[in-house]
Amino acid sequence: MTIRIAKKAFDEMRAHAEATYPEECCGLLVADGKKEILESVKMRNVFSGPRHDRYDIDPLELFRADRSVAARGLRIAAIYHSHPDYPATLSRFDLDHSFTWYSYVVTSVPKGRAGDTRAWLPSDDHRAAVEEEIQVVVG
Amino acid sequence: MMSVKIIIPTALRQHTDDKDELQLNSKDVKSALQELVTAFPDLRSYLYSDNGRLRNFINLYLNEEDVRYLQGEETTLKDGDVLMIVPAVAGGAPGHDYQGPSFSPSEFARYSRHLIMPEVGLEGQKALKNSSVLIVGAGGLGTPSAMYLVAAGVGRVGIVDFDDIEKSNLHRQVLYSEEDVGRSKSEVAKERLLKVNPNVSIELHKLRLDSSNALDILKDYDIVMDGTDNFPTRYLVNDACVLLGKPNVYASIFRFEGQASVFYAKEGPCYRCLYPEPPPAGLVPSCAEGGVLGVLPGIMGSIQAAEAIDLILGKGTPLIGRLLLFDALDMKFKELKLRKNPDCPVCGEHPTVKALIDYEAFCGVKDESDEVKEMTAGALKRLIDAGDDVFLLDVREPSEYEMARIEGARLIPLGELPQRINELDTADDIVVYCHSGQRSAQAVHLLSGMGFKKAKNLKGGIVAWMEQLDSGARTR
Repeated sequence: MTIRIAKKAFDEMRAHAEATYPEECCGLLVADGKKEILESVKMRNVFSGPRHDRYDIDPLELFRADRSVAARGLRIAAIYHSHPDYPATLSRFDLDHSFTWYSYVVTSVPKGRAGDTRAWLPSDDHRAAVEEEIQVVVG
Repeated sequence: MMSVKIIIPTALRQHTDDKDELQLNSKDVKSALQELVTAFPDLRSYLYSDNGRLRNFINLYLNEEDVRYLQGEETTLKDGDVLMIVPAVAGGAPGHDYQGPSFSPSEFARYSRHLIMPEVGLEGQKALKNSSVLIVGAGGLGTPSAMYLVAAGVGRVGIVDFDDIEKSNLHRQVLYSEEDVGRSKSEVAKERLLKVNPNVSIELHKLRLDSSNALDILKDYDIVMDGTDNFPTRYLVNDACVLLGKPNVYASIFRFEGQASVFYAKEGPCYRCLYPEPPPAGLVPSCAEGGVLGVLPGIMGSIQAAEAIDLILGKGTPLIGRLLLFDALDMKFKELKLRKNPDCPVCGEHPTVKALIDYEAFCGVKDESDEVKEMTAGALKRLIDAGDDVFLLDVREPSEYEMARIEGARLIPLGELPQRINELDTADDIVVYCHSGQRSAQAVHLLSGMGFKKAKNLKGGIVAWMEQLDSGARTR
């Protein structure tokens, strides 16, 4: 399994992860019909508690982004977020809250610098995830 | 017919022939969703769980308002309404085995006496901050355990309770004050706990835990604390923990005696291994019926908090497979060894309980008050005043009887009723009462099952009787 991400979107996502450190960032990755990620869209992390290990996307903000994306014939293919000082794997909590129709792209941010970025496709039973190979597309 | 628009998230378009909105004719939210999944059956598994309930992480917005704040799936639709399906996207890292969260200088100061202990240290304190505990019942046990967990820095504490604070709670539930009487327990608890430690998050579940919601609520927590005061909820919490593979830190209290254990089916017995069947309804009195020493739940709740912390730290020997008995009168602790029952219906080798059941029915306390014949205090007064022969049966405890009773009443505490049934005559017009009508409803149910077809329950108990006398006195 491969997920192709335009370099600009990839870099923006990682910069977002550094900017919100030590809190988690979150956002959307927008794809065309061929499942190629063209853009990243920042979302606010509206979790009410400590945000260093938790994110919540505001449903209405997500909805509006989804509509404007749909109007352009694109779709939200993946959710991205960061793990400050934690590996770029899906946590149990991530899995429990995952939707099988999205890929999940996680960037590890050890000590404030973006580290690994890895992509995951959660299984139907929310117990595991299959890793997708990220191809960064230049140009 | 209403014409409403339903908007599908773009990610699901592949299941809707690439459509991201549809025009439907539905009278309410529920039928709109039904219409949608009928048209596109592939969507069903995304929107509904196996038991046919709408998935927890699916938000429905009607004209940008969450239907949970309207009438949920029953919300009616009108022409031109726009119904949106929006996933609730959330996630986050744990921190147990990595560097984990950082602490502010103020948190370092707060936890300094933990941090200097080798068994806790920075790693342990981070584990606490990354952990989550659900407290079922913000009462005698739940309030002290919540205070200690929050003070110790457990990052996320959930509280399940829908009760309001009563004056009779205050002698043991020391999180609450005189001025809180009448307010919601969970809301006051959250206010106070955040004052104890503002660095944690408190999540409220203001509802009655039952088979339809327990798994959904419990699954988001690492550890569950049973601070309940009734058998149906206790069995429910046990079974849900076994099914989810979570440790259940248990305690119970009665008068001067407390019990505590950790039921963790992965590593030891569960509550059902200890008590496969609930006691007959009404046999074991609750705190309201039997009383409890105010300080006892403080001790037992603190034991629960210490156990939860040990489990989070992974240190020491938890009470798995051991039942701790405490006697506050003789000030003695005892310990019993518990064994896992290989034939246990939930955690045994061949479990028969694989999903949550109806625990009210299992414990024989199904609310059948509508089937129980009732009499109001006013009607009883008129009968007595008219000189009719009424046999008054008081099923409270002797101490309650001594404080106040209806004149001429015979005392048979509910727990003794089955053995002393021969003291009653089926031909009598029996009116049963207790404090507020709960125990007497059980008694009437029991009696009518034994042929006492004329037995009636005094609605509202002696409380209603007193009020009726009072108002009578005032109007006279």
